[in-house]
Amino acid sequence: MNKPELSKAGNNQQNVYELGIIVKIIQSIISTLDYEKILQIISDGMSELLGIESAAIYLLDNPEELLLSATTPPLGTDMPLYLRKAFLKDHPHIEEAVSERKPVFLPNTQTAKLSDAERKITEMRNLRSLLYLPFVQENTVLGILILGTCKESRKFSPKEIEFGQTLANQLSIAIQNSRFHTDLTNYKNNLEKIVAERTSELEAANEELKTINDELNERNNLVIKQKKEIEISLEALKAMQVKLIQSEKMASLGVLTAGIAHEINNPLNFMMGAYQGLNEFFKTNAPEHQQYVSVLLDGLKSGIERASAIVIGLNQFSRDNKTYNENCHINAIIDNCLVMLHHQFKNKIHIDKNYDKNNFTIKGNVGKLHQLFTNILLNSVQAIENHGNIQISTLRNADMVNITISDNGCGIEAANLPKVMDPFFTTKEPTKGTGLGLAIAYNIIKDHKGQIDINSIINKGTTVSINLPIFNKI
Amino acid sequence: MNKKKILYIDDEELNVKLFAHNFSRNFDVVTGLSGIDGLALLEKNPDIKVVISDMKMPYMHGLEFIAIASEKYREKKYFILTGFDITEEIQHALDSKLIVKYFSKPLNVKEIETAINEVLLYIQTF
Repeated sequence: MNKPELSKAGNNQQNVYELGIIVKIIQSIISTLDYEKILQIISDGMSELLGIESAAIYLLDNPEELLLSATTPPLGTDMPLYLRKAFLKDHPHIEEAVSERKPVFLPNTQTAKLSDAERKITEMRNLRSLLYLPFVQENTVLGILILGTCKESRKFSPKEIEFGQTLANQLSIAIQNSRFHTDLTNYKNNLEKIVAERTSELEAANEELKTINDELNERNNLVIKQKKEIEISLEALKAMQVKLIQSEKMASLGVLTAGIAHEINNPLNFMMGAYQGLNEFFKTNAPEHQQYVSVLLDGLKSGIERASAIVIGLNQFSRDNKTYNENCHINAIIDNCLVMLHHQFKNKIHIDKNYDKNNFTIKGNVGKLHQLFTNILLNSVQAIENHGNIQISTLRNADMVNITISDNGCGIEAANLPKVMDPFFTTKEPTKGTGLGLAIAYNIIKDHKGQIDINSIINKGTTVSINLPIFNKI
Repeated sequence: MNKKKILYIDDEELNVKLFAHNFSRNFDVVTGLSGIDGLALLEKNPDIKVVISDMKMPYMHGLEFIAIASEKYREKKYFILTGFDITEEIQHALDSKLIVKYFSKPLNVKEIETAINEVLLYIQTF
């Protein structure tokens, strides 16, 4: 085998040859970033440059461990990792080069003192002369290049050694760069992995949040539904309370008025009996005084009749009849209510009646209709502060009756108009109203399958229009 | 012509007095202050044709009295005169023909006289 020495100054052909090899090494290094490939290129290139058959690169994995990373001729790709590992202390020549950061030359393995590990390798690969070139980069040793001749020993000139070391140092930059690149790639891969992990974690968390959100939404809907149900029950309860108060009130009022009616009717009966007896007496026994006495007797009779009308009205008002098939004389019922309210408006309010001339009746509940018109009329009376008018008209159509009651009182504010039929809504003073009048009126109209419509202008007056069917089909 | 005998029962003494006063011109009026009185008077006066009773009275109210009386004296005619509005009980008595008519207080002498005369005519005819 040819032993090409490193070119001497002036040997241009040799220089070009060496330069060619260096350029080849550098180009190869530039063209790849693969760490292992770069090491292989360096190993092959350096052995070619120095004309040596065998080369090996060990990298320092850590301060005590070496990893066989490339050889010339190349390593088998299936060489297991544990066989590629070696301890620095088992290879004193490598250790020397590494610690001194300088090349070490071993001229002849057969005569040199070797460790067991060194001996094993040199014998296995039949190595004779060995040159150890550490890769030094900014005072740090990255690894070592070992060049070796097989079978024969050879000498390296100091210049060759120095050149080799300089080149090794330069190449260590490439090694370092590619190592950085590998680190960077690993780092990047690691980052991607972390990102992927984090992403999937976030997605999982997001999914969980979505589930929680859905649950919350569901619960929220449930709460909204329950709230609505409660509101509906509350409304129903309020309406029930009104009915209860109303029926309780009317029941006790009924007992009371029936008692009063009876107690008043008896003395009225005395008076009526006495009046009729006197009337008969004068007619029979003193016809000459008839004219004079009749004025007195008529006064007595009118008083008895008016008192009796009030008692009848009271009885009508508080009648405890549950059915809706009584014959109700609407005009007479309204008149009755006016009798009951007379003390509230006499000398203060002019009542203008415009009744339908036909003496019609509708099917309904006499007592409840009395309550209805009393409530509506009382509102009109209370709306008039000093003097005013109330107009009452009744009109029978084919199958409906319209009753319109209008006053020129204080009116209802537009904002309050939608609330007037709500239970307990009132703008009256505490002693004048409970806020139940129109709520009760509304219920009574509903029970008669009728309708109520209220129009009002503040300070002008209020008109209440009620429509009741003549035959309510209940 | 003989005055027909009628019975009036009311727990108010003044009512009884005035009733007798007003109706004596045309009828022979017997009066009592309770249902017990009424039953005793019916026993004593079999010629009573018509019975008029107040409703609200102690011990026995008007319809209770009439119910007992009519069991024994089916041919007599019974009326109620009351200060109360018509009640279910009175309506039922009208429907079952226990009483002929119901009058309300304050009384109307003419109305009651007319009704009595109508039933007397009916009794005489049949």
